[in-house]
Amino acid sequence: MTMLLRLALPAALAAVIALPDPAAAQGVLRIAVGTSLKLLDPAKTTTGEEYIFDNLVFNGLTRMRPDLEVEPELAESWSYTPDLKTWTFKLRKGVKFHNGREMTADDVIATYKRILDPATGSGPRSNYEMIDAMEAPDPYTVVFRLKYAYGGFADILSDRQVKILPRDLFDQMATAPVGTGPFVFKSYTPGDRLILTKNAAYFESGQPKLDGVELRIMPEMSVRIAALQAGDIDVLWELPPEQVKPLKSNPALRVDSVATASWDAAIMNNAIPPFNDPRVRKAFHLAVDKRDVVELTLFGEGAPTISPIPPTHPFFAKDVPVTKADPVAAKRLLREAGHPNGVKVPLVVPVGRPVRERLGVTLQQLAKPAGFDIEIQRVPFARYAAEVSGIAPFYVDGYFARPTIDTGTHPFLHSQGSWNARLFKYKNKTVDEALDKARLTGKPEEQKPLYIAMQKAMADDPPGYFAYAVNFACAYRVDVKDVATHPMRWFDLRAGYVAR
Amino acid sequence: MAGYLARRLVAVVGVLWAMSILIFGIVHLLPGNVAYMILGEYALPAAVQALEAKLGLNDPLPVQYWRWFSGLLTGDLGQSLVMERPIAPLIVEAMGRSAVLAAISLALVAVAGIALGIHSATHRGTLVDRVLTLAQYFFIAVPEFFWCIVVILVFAAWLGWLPATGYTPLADGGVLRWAAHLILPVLTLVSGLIAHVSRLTRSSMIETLESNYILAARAKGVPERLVLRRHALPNALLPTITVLAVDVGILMGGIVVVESIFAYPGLGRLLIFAIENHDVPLLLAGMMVVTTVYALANLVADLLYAAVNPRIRYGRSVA
Amino acid sequence: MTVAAERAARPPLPSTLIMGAVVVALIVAAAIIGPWLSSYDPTVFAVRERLRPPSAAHWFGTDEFGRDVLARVLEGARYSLGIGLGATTISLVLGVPLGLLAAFRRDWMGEAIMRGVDLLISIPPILLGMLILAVTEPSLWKTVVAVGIVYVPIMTRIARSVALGLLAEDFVQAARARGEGAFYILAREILPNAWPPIIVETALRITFAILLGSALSFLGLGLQPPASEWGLLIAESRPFIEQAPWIGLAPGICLCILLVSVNLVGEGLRELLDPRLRGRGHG
Repeated sequence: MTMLLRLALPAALAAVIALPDPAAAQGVLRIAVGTSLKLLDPAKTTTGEEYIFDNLVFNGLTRMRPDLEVEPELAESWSYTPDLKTWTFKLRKGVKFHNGREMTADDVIATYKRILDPATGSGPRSNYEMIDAMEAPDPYTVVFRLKYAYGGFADILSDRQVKILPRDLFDQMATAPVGTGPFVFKSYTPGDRLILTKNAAYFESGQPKLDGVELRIMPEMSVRIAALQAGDIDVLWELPPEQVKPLKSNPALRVDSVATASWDAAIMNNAIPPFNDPRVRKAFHLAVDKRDVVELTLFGEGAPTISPIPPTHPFFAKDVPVTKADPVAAKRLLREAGHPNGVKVPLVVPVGRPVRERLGVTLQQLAKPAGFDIEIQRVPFARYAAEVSGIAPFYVDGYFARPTIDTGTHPFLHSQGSWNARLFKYKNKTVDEALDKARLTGKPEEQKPLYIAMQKAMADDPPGYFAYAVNFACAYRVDVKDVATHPMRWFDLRAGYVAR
Repeated sequence: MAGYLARRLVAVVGVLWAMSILIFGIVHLLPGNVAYMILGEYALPAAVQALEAKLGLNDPLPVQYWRWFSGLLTGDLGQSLVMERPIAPLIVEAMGRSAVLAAISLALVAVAGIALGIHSATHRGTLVDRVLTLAQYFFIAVPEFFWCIVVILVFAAWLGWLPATGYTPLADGGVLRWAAHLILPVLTLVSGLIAHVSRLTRSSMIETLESNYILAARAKGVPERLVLRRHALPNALLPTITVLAVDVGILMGGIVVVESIFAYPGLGRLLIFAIENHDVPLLLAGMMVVTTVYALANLVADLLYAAVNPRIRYGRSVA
Repeated sequence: MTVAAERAARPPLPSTLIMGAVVVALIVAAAIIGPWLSSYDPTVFAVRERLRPPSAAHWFGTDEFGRDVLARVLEGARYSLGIGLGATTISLVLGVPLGLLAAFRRDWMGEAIMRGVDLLISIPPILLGMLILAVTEPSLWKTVVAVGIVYVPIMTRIARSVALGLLAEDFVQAARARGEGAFYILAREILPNAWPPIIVETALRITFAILLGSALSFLGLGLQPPASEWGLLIAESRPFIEQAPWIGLAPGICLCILLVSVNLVGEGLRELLDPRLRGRGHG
């Protein structure tokens, strides 16, 4: 009897699990993510999970490919005046919103007006502050007039939040979003799943190949991994670095890890002690070797950086050496700065962001021999805005890649930059000049020496501890075809299909 | 009995009203600025102020309380600040799913816990009793959050017998799939509580069986089965009933942990989401719902207690 | 039964009590002298020794930073014991007198106490703990106080329900008939007879307090890293649970052993103290 039970029970259970998942049968791609989406209105989205949604249901004027080149999307083509101040976009004709209405220039202008309106509360509003005026000479042409020359304008129109929305349906975006993208919003149950179906009338013919996409929300990483291995889901978005090697050895899975420009840092507040003294900031860099940090925090899945410019980018300053840990020199510098007994400072880390928590513990331990007495304080990430950013002297945070080097550096490092005003409060003349000049030219060969000069200046006078550029990995069942891990952390699923 | 019931109902309403004030007070002590949470880190001060005014966050607390409470009375739970969607459907859906989880678990706990406890008590010292006692010690001790991890590791990751996620809609694959997904969360929720209830039932049953009036009944030659059913059981179950009501609370707490880990979209997850994101209206509504359910469970326990124990005369003093 | 006969019949110490007490004593001893026993500092990293399985050098293996898991678990025992004992003491000292009072004074005072209890008990413990800890910065003593407060109403309720049962007993009614005062009845008649169930409940309460404390830490609301409270250790081990299960299993199993042995002590005490189990009826 027990023998029978022992054999029969697993068999029965296995039979139950093997019951076909209807979603799987229909060629629906099931992607596991960690946290619930808060908002379905692309202009207001702020999290990686929401950005996946943005890029499946909506389109921008331009699109960023996985190789980070920008190509036309809703705009068929564009041109600009030699002074880089007037940009004209020709729209594709016959592109329909999911409700059947044609998308025209008026929708584009209304969308950007809404982004620029402070009352909307759109995160990246300041990235588009150069827009002075917009006009639509005909329904398929949009002209942007800029306040100053901006070479990367077409690039920043590929960003996550600037998706073109139907101008008459802004109010229903939070609950019943409508876009032009390859997938149509069907339903959303917070805490459970977001269901998208194929847009049969998608403007790129033959796409998408999938019948639908489901974002399954599973907070627990071990559950996501078990579900992926069991085939309950097809894609695991954002595989933590420590799981890359173990999952690579599973023949049923494909792990795809790419270098990105997303960075983590220990933000130092330059306006208040102890980090208002550049010597203390510099001493911290002497105390901790970034290579050790990458190994301990990321299990090698990343590379040390100096600024938000990633080591994989041609503008990265390769000749600036990574500092070796030198506690004696760090202590000397601290003594000069008036801290003979070292520095005692709390370090805030975000609860629920394991990699960044680990970065905090790593720094706490590695900086100890150099006289930094760090006390870790965990604060829920949701409270960062109100209590931590711009207020705490020292905290761990990180930012996703931006579409251009300018949008990734200028707001963060320029003394007038919007993000710098809340993060570092950093002021460096060389850095300011380099950022201002680089922004005004559209030519990479002119930008490169400027950005390298900026990184050299930052190595001497660091705003905070830019630890690394982190790799981004996703894990796929092997029957998921033609889906690549995107360095911008979203998915392009137009060509993807499931070979079941 | 009717008078007692009416009085207790009034008391429950009073408790709920006091609770609405308590929760409102605690929630408004939560650190973090709501307007910042909505507008994001880089909102301009002017935009923050405009939104605060729009949401009425600058009004005195009693005014805010009254606005919320009067809405509550008319069934208007308001709008989630973070998700910008009405709260009522969110809560109703999540509560339905949690209720399923809770009802299955509680039924299992009551039936299995009492049955095992009585069996142990009437078979004291036997092998079965010893094994059960040992198991009770063990299962009471395993924390839910650790248990979750262990069962996922064993049943989902190593053996691959059961799905690691706790929820799949009924419409999406039928009853069997739905039930298979429920096994691990329910298992996690009930193991400790069954142990708790059966242990309590066992010890109070043993006490009752050794009390004078049972001895007297036995001496009078009342058949053992009748002694058990008529005399011992009603008395022995008194503490069990109180504990079952307390267990509803433990269950609801356990549901918070279990729902998070097994990706089960219920009320517990919604509450954690509300706390993490500082979604005040959502948190208030969720807490009120949880509190109401719990208060009603306690009321039912009190009524049962009174109904079973003849010596407590519905609140009159036993002089 | 005569006093002499009762003495003669007094059984030896229950085996559950001995077993439980020995294990608890071992854990307490390990918590106190453990950090000297271990040759590893629970906070020091060793990059090359990361995620090593248990071995002669590292009995419980090492974690993702190469820290010795045994050293961390030993340090964590202090937190778990401290939270459990501290919180239970708070709930016992506040809860039992309130419960007895509420049972005895069944006028406005009893009513007020029980309505207050109803109020607090209407929030499930973990949510009440989460709310209390969400409004303040987490720290060790706040965790202890929060857990203690959470269990006051339950203690009150249990004490009241035990006392209510006793009040209906003949010997109490007899004392009332004799015209004894409230304090006399509570202290001399109710309390001595109420102890056994309260002690059983206290043993359970210690377990629940340790559980709740570690659950709150698990959820990120209790102790903060790099502290090695067991709930926090288990929470931090989750990303590695399949790769290196020992990181989470070691503190988890220790937590279970501690809880089982505390329970055994409670059960043993009950066997020892409960007069009914020694065959003596009351009255």
